[in-house]
Amino acid sequence: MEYKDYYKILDVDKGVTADDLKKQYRKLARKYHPDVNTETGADQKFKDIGEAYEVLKDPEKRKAYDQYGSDWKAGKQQQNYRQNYRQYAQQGHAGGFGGGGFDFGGGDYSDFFESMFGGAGRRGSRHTFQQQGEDVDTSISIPLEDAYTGTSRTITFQTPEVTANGTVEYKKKTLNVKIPKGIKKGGKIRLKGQGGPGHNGGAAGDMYITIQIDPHKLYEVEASDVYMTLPLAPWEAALGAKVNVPTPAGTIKLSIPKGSTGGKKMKLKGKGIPSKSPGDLYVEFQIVLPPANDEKTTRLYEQMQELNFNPRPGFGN
Amino acid sequence: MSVKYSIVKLQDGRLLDDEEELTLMQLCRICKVPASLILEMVNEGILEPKGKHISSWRFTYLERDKVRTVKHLLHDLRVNMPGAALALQLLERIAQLEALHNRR
Repeated sequence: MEYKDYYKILDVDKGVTADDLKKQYRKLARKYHPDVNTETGADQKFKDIGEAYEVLKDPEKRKAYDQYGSDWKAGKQQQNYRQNYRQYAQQGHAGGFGGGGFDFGGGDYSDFFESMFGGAGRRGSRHTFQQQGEDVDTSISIPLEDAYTGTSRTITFQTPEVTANGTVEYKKKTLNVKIPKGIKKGGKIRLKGQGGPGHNGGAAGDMYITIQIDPHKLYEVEASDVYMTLPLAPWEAALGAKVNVPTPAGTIKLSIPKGSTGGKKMKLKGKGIPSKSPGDLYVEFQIVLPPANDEKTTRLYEQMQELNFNPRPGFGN
Repeated sequence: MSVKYSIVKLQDGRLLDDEEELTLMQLCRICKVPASLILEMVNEGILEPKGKHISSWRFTYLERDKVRTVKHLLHDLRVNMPGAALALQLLERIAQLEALHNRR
């Protein structure tokens, strides 16, 4: 079990006042909120910040943490404190965890927190009435080609379960999921009844899987539209040509119109991800110049120089 | 020697685009929020259900994400509804700009 330095997590001094602690917590919560910050690890950071604040904002818990926290590995103190804290909590002093009638998400504390403050922080339910299982949200990434054809993936995830004594435990679950053809980037799949189990005969929750597309060296994807760059030789663009273009659905022969320029985009309607409303494939031309590092090429460039072509007409000279 | 196999059933994933639409009460149930919160979100313009009257309102499953994000912002960051609406709008703008940036 890892010791958690709650002061360090919140980046505050040990002597921080309640007001400054609250300000710092709110600042960090805004920064790392998983709905706002999509960077990897933001979710965990947000949980750590919440846990640290949960302890340090409560004078009783803060006192205990200051006293025992760093020596937590010394088991006897741990046991004594935990017992005392539980009695204190049962007398109705330690509060602030409970929720109202609706679930607004919440307590998911570290082992360190659990061992110090027991299950007091867990949101659980001791209700005897039926309760629907938790929905589980997860995401997986698939190659773009699989989005065109459909695929299947085995996923392992943790599902929250409310135990008989009201605490929440996470259990591992494995599912083999069929991903239908035509899923767009960021699209979602619902697996009915595959979330957390219900309580007291309540229905199981659902599972929601967000599909991401693996980065690809040729393509960028946005929803069901696909973007790619097509390198062309100057004469292919100037004179027109037919070139082979690899698309995620296979190679096609593309006619390059005469007089094309770099940056020009061609839209191949319906050649994006074949979803219910199929996406388009956008091909952007990029002119690639042959390097003038041999005599023949240099001579050809010199001949072109005679054209007196001005590539900068807007510069006024 | 016996070999143990664990058979994992293939679950058919269902695209949410193809899902049936949700009534107000169904949306409340899957998001675990009171109807008053959905009404506030509709009044704020965050959700735009099909149908004129509350009884005929229909939402899509994709709106579940918006409701959940707003629920978290209200609770975790203590913003009010107009603040949550602004945050959602800015998050959508950031996602658009990131997509544009990735394409370049």
